Amino acid sequence: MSSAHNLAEPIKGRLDVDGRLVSADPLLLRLHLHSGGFEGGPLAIPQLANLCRLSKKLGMNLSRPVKAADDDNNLNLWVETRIEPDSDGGLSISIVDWKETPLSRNYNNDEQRQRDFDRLNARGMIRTDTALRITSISLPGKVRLSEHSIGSALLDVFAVVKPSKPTLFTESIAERQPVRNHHVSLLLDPDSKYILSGQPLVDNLGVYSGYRFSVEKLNDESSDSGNSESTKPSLISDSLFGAQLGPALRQPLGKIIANAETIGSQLEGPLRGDYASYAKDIAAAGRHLMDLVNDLSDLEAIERPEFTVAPDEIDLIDLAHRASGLLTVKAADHQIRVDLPDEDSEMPALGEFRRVLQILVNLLGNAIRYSPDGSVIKIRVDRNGDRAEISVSDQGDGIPEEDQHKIFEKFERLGRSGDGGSGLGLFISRRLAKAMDGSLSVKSAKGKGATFTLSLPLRTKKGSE
Amino acid sequence: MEKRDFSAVENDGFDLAKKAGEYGASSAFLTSDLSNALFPESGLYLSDRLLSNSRQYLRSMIGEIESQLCLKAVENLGVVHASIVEIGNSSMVYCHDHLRNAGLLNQSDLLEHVFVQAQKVELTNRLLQKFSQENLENSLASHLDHEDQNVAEAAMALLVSRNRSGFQIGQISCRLSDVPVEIYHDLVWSVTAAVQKISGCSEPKLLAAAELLLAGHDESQSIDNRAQRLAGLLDHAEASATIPHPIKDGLDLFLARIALRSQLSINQLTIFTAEPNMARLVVVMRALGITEIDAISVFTALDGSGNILTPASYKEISRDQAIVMTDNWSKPSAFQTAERKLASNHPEIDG
Repeated sequence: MSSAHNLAEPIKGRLDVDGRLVSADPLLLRLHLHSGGFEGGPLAIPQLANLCRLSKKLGMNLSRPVKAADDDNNLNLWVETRIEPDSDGGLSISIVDWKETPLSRNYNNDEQRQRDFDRLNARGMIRTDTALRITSISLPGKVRLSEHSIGSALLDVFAVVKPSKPTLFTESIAERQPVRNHHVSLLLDPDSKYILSGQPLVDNLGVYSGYRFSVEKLNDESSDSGNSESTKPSLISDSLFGAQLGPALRQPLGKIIANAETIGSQLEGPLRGDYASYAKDIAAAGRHLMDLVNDLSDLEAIERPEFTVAPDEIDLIDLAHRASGLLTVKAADHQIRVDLPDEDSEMPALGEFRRVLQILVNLLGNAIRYSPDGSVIKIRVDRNGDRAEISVSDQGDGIPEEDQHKIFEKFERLGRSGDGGSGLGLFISRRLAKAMDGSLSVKSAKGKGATFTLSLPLRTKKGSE
Repeated sequence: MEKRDFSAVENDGFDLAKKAGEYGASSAFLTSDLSNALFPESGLYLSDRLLSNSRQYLRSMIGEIESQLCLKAVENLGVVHASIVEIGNSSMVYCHDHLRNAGLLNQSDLLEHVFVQAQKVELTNRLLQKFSQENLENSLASHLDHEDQNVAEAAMALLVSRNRSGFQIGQISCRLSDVPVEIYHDLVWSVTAAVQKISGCSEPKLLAAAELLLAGHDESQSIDNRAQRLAGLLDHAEASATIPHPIKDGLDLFLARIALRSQLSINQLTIFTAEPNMARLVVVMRALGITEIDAISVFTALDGSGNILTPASYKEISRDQAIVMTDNWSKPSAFQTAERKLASNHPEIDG
């Protein structure tokens, strides 16, 4: 299950006196970029950077194995460093062996993180064994199938429906191929329709071990537009984004972002520096548009009269850790540390799990966006009478008092632009908080950071209070 | 009656007084020296041959460094100081005693390296009593025709390194490229200070020569390093299915392959071979799932005391327990040391 790049020539790179990667062959550059580095920036591959630091500290040439990881692969490299006597502290790197081994994905944290992403995006998840029997399931919406469907064959619980073709689905599964955007319905409740996408799983030994599907609820009007147009015309106009424009825009936008990132990272080969930079701009603009589409879909949903939230029993500390986990990479990009409450303690509250997570991700994302690099963001929980409160404090520029009411208005950007925000996040978050019988407020002063506090009904533990 | 000449041992008063002062200082350590000899703590038997080889290796290492340092100073930087020229051209060892007296050789990393090198000589001697040098080299040469060019090149590099080491039975000498960089770095600076003291040469060029010596050190030339690289390449190739064996692989590659699979270091494994009954090496082989036939064969090849490993005693070791033990030994040595000291000196606090 391992592969080796054919290194007829070693992969070369060069660091300047400050440890910045000033030149690199494409494979090394790709790994550097994937590790969070940027062109001309400090070498971002931790294990390699450590080796280079040691080499420079000792003033000696080293030759050692280095382990790293990139996307879905573990990398086993053999690296030689060479002190450059004539370059005033420069160091050259030569990678003579480059072996890739598929990365095991069976880590609990990865699973939990993926589940959190799914829940944040209103997706469900199904895991199956090799015989396509369901081993775990969580579906979006209120359908609770787990008791009945665990152990059942996937196709005894779901039927592939038009426009998808059952034979194509089963053939893909038989060939252990990924499946994308298949329309299915519950056999027990044919009106409940979903979009199913899945990836085959391999275990530590590289053996096929089943499938992991993500499940998205399919609205009737989008699944069968011909009928619903005639029967429910009002809903179509009501759900312009959620049902029609949203899905229609997300797919092409996703492709634009993916392709632009591929070009910008020079995965397919070296590129002129300014062209790579344009591609990164395209990817950033695409992500901004995608966020806007998502926000507009949410906006549309929460402004519907029938919008409701589920009163889940949640723990705000657990949700704080999950939100932080989802933004780990973004925070690390800016060397920002998120100071979280002790994971072993609890702050029970009532609110819809997914929506509270959405609010916290929005608050934490804003805090990262508007905090200086290297600063600390504090998340604290507190009990205030019958309310459970969670606050996110940053060390940014703060918000003048006269502007504080404006930031919760639609499309209000306080004159900021180009930072990736849509101006809808806080408006949506406050509306969601209110829908959960809660509130979202801010305390801030110019130059002294900002503290956003989400307040929700306290959940009394049964038997304890 | 034969007249004896006492002139050779005649000392003047000044010399005697000086020596008396020195012995006064050093004899304070008499009890600790005797204690170490009478009550060794390690459980390893340090034979006279092993101690002699260790001393010889250490002296050789220091002699090589001081000689190379002075040659660099003279040839590359134009130092003309008579003592530096003399040290550079001499085969004598000048700095050893100074460094020893200053306690600069009493470093655990350095001594472990010295012991490991002496033990490897011991193991090589044992293998050569059972198999010819030619047989041992042929096994490594078989990789030269490997279809993966990188494997073939790595095997060639290891062969070259081994041949350069010029190993001969009954002799041990240091090849500087085999000294681990961290040890080499510290030792070069210690030797530089000692050379400066001995020669009275305080030219900055001596320090510049030390820097040149360090920059010229190439870790990739060391036998351990090349064996590790080859082991890594073979582990990805079809050879991963074969069992590591000192006869089939040669000692260096055997240790590197076991080290790679067990996540232990080559030094640790070499020390295991010096322990009574090679008990820890046997546990490691059990943890790696090596069959009893192969384990017994490896044991017999490396043993030098006529000990026997039986299939029953090998199979008696629980594989799960062996895996846990091996995993514990692979933890950072500082952690293991601290764990042991804490366990023995600080009983757990109740409540």
